[in-house]
Amino acid sequence: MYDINKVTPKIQTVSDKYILSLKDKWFQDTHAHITWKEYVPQAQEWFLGSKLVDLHGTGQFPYVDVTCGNTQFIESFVLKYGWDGFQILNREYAYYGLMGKHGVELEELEPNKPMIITLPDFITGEIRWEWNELLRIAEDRNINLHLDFAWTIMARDIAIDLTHPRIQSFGISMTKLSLNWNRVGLRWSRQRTMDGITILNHYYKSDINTNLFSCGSFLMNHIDRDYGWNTYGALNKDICEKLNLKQTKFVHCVHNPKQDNTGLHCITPLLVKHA
Amino acid sequence: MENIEFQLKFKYTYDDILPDIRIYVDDDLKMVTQNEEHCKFWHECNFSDHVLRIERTGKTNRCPEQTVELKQVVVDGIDIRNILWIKSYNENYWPEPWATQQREAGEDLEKYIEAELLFGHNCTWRLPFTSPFYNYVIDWCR
Repeated sequence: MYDINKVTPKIQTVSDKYILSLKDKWFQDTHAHITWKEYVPQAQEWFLGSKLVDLHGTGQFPYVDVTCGNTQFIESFVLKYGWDGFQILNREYAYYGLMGKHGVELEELEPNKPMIITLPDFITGEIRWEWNELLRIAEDRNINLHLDFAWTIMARDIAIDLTHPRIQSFGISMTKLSLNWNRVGLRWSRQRTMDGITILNHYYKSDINTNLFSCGSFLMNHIDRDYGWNTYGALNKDICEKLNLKQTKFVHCVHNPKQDNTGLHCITPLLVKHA
Repeated sequence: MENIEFQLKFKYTYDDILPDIRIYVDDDLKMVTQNEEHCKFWHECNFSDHVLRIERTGKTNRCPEQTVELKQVVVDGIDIRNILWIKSYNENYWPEPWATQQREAGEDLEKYIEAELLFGHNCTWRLPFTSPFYNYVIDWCR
């Protein structure tokens, strides 16, 4: 019934008919203009309103800024600290490696040098196994942590305690819901500091990037925060049972014990076909 | 309230007597130094008006070659060179009898000199700023 050949290591977001119909609707219909001031509280409620992902301690991050997706979250961070001024762990996004930034192992982390980390990562589909040890090292070595939560939008059973004092900011975006055509997200900071996102958000209070907020608001009005698992959870389970695959935190990703028990495999083509 | 990192870079010139530098934010003494080129400290600022202040002493009539130059100020990761050139000012304590001689010769010794970063005489240098600091910088740029 399910074609195992459609399960591949190439990770694709779930671009289904409903999500695509929203794109058409956005471009064809007329919509309300939403301001930055209106959008931020709505987006906060939406992003943090997941019943499947528990981010504990978000109240310690009172400074909230709009981003053009988590890529801007990363780039603004890099702009602030410089390409050599931050560090990442091994097995991070290809994004860094493509531009020659390479990761290190835990014990190689440099003191006083901020780092960015993707949680959950798309290699294991879990919170990195080093997480607790990383927090200890970050405390010992005074390493500020900035968390890229881009993939939490497609995840479940994730619980992260953000109250650790070295965690300085985190970002979440709608992009991974196959909404690349309007990359919009939020960044939460323990203390706001000067960087690209700060500057843009200062000016967002006037009529700048209104289309970004208005579309983000429209999408949030039409998409449930836990859309992925709520829509495809049962199908994901059935595919995994029938094909002897192992579920992960991500609705569109599984482990295939017959091929590689560590890397993720994508079932998006099966989810879209059999929905 | 925000916790801000301050980094100051100095260049010292002297014969045999070191200049004394005391750095304050408002009334909090943050550092005392004589010849450290790089000074770094943190300060918790509430969201209001503040002053970064440097008290330079140690100059006497016996060591005329002694100078201190404030080469760089980085606050919250931002090199605020241009702000120093506009917003900072220095209050010199003119030495006697030199000051009297200058005045008698018709020289006007100003009490405050804007943007002076080379401290030849004993002096108090000030930079008023507000917190949150990123907002201060954005407002200054407008």
